[in-house]
Amino acid sequence: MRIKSPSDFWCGLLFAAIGIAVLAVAGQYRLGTAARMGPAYFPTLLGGLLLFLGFTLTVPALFKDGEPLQKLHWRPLLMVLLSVAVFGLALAYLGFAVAVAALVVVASLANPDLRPLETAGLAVFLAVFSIGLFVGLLGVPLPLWPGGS
Amino acid sequence: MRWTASIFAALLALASAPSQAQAQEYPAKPIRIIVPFAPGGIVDTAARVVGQKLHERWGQQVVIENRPGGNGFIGVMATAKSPADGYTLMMAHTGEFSVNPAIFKDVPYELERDFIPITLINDAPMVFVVNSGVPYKSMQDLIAAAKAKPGTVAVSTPGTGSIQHLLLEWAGLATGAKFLHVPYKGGAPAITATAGGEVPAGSAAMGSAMPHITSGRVTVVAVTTGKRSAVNMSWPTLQESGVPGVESSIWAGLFAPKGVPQPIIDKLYGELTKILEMPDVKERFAAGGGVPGGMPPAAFKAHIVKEAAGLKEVVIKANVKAE
Amino acid sequence: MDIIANLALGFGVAVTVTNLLYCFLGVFLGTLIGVLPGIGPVATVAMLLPLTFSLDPATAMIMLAGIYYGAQYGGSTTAILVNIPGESSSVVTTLDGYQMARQGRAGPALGIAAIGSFIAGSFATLVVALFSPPLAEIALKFQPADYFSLMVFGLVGAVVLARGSLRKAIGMVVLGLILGLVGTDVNSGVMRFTFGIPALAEGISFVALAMGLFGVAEVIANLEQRGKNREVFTSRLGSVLPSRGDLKRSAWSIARGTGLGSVLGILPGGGALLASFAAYTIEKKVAKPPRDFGNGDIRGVAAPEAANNAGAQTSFIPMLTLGVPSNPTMALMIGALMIQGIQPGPQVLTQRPELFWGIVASMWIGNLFLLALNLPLIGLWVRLLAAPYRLLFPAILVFCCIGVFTINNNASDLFQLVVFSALGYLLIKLGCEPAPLILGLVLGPMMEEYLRRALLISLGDPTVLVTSPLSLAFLLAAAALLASIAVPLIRSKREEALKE
Repeated sequence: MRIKSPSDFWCGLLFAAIGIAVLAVAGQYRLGTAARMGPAYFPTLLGGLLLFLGFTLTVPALFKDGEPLQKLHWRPLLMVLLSVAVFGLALAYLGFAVAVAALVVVASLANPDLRPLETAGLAVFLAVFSIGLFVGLLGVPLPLWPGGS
Repeated sequence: MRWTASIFAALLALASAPSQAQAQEYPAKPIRIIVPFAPGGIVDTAARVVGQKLHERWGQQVVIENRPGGNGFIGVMATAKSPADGYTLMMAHTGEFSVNPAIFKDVPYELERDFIPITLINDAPMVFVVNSGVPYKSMQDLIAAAKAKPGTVAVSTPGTGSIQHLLLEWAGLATGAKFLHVPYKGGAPAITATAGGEVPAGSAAMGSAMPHITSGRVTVVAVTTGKRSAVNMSWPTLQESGVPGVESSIWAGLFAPKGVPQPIIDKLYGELTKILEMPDVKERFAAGGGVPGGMPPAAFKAHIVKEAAGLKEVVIKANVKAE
Repeated sequence: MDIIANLALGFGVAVTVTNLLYCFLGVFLGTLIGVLPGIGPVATVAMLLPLTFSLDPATAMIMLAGIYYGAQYGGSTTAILVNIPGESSSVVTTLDGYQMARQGRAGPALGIAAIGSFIAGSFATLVVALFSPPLAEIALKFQPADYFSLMVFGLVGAVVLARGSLRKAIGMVVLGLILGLVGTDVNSGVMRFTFGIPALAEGISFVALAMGLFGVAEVIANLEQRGKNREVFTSRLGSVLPSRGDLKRSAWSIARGTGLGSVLGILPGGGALLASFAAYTIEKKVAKPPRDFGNGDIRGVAAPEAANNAGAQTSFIPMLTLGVPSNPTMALMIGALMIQGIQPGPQVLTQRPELFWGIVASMWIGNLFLLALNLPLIGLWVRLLAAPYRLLFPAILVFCCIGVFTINNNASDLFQLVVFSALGYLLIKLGCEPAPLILGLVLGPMMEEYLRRALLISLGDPTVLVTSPLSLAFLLAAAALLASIAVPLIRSKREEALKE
């Protein structure tokens, strides 16, 4: 069977999947009654609602023509996400200066026409600028260098 | 060869010798005090007042670092993991060491294993208040009403598992009264609810209740400390109001990570006892009914251990759960 | 007249050389830091807060209020220029503001935001001055049932925000409500959906979510357009200030936004946020012709910006008189007050009139500084957009990371940013708009909290929701709004069917 409206189809599946996950986790908590709601009451209601919405998107998508799915581009997605994660890790272990520079370098890899010299310059500039502004001027307590606490 | 080895050994000895030399030099660089809360509030204020005074007396910068979140776990763990050199301290309160171990199954830190209590800084009473328009005029009235119609007299607290909540449960256990606990998201909304008449009564920190006490919207029916409060000597204590054996307060105290050399702890304690004697410090704490602490490290620790055991019993008996 | 004497007292405090200077300094620094994409008002105020600790209370509050306006306007600037809302109330500004920027109309968008904010701010200041004491009483009278129904009304309104599929928009609201569940349940103390991560005990970091869904996801989406990288924005700069026609078109929108913001801002908790969303919803319903909304309609910037600034001013009433913050930034300001040794509450008005009226007077002065400072700067911001995107986007990412980190000084918030960026990109690809999600996230926990509290206090009697006249009114309004969405939809479906 051909999916006639892929965008709605996959969106509905995503909703349904989240709905089921919410219902599963909420099952661990106490449900209570409508008059005396327990911690699970609202989550169960919302999980069910999202699951239902998922169906109303997915099922008609099989029969009615609609928008196609937009193509995912992995390179910018992964590189940008990686750059933020690298910043987080580097900040904890290597200090702020290295973290900013690492973020800029990794993020630049997201861009196909890489210019190494320009990237290096930008990394240094942004590190110096942020340290000067946030740490120098405003005194935000950031660990600056490796081993600093 | 030999002399290099002996110099090396000497250096090593020097570096590892804890002792007097180190305490005399202390503090040689800025000190940071971690506060497991956002700025403002009793613990943060205690840290800032003490930090300012330490800075004035020692000439070293004292940085207050707010690490809020996770019921205090995040800030406490950050302190526990910091180097035990005396340059990272923590201002914590009743919640972290007496309440959390009682209500949470998995607390990632332990007082004995991870910390050295230095001293109690500010000890502030809590109060039971009623909306001024309700017929209850005393703690006895409140208890009688809760006994007559169990589970209908609503009392606001700043949250499930807060010290104010445990205090309410404790008072219920001691008198056999059953209150209707109505939790809020923090002290201000809770006391506002009592002031606005949404609920007839409240269990609150004296500091957060103060504005509405002054405006006359709420009336104090009991203070929770063993002695009456200097803020208003006419307010009876819980003991005097027919709630036997219930006594509690919100304290803020200074802690160091386990392993900080004793001479540094002594030096800090010595300095803090002097700071806590200062009239402006006393005045600052008195606004919220607070009394400066200053008990020695061992006594402070014993106080926490005793309090934690008492609260644990309340939690078990009243079946309070933070599942 | 009391009010004249009070205002005279206020201006007496505010118009001293020191206080004027700190007011300006606050507005200036607030704008300067707040305009960095990714550093929203919360992070800005958190970073600048320590500068005020050594000042005396009135001066400190005046400077803080200045920082707050500056940061808020800075947040609107980034919402328009790079689709990064600094806080929940500028989320709506991204809808039409960012579209305007992409069409080369960033200047008029920024201009109308500044002018609208100034008009709204001036009016709301007057409201604060005239009605503070009685308004504080009204806020006290609001019961949990009333709040619950107000939230329901707001959430129904959120659906109207969406341009595309209605089902997807409802899904986004529900997803937002679900994300809002994460954290400690106020009523039972149970930690829900935290998976043992302490950082989640107080809920999802709003800033990480907003930066991820809007800012970072948008960066990724822009980057994938290879070769077109330099054309994220039209190179044509266009006029820098709104034209006479723009002003004429926006006049009523500003007026409506101002009125709505002034009223809703008084409600402690969520009021100011609802104001900007409600203003946009109303514009979309009443403005004629309505066709441009979502594609860069200047009224879609003017109304919510006016509402959000008016709400920001009037939310000082519950903040100062009840100590109840309406958003995380206000919570920080309460912290600052307490550090000054002032416990917010009704006594502030009677015991510290110079403080209260000084702040009121400085609100107006601060708004004037804001306008004077920002109108000339608009040209500069617009020109920054002309920089090549390959240089712009790493800077945006750096500031987003710093902004997320500094709020709690917690690196684990950055991993939330990673997760929400991925989610945001996925949602863009699936044709879902994130704005309704944000409203669900912020209002959801409050809605649940108030409903359960209403039922707790009423001992389980659900009729409280309709016996309170206010609650009933909100529920009826919500039903009417729902009907206004559903009826045209059903009608058009029928017409469609008839045509076939």
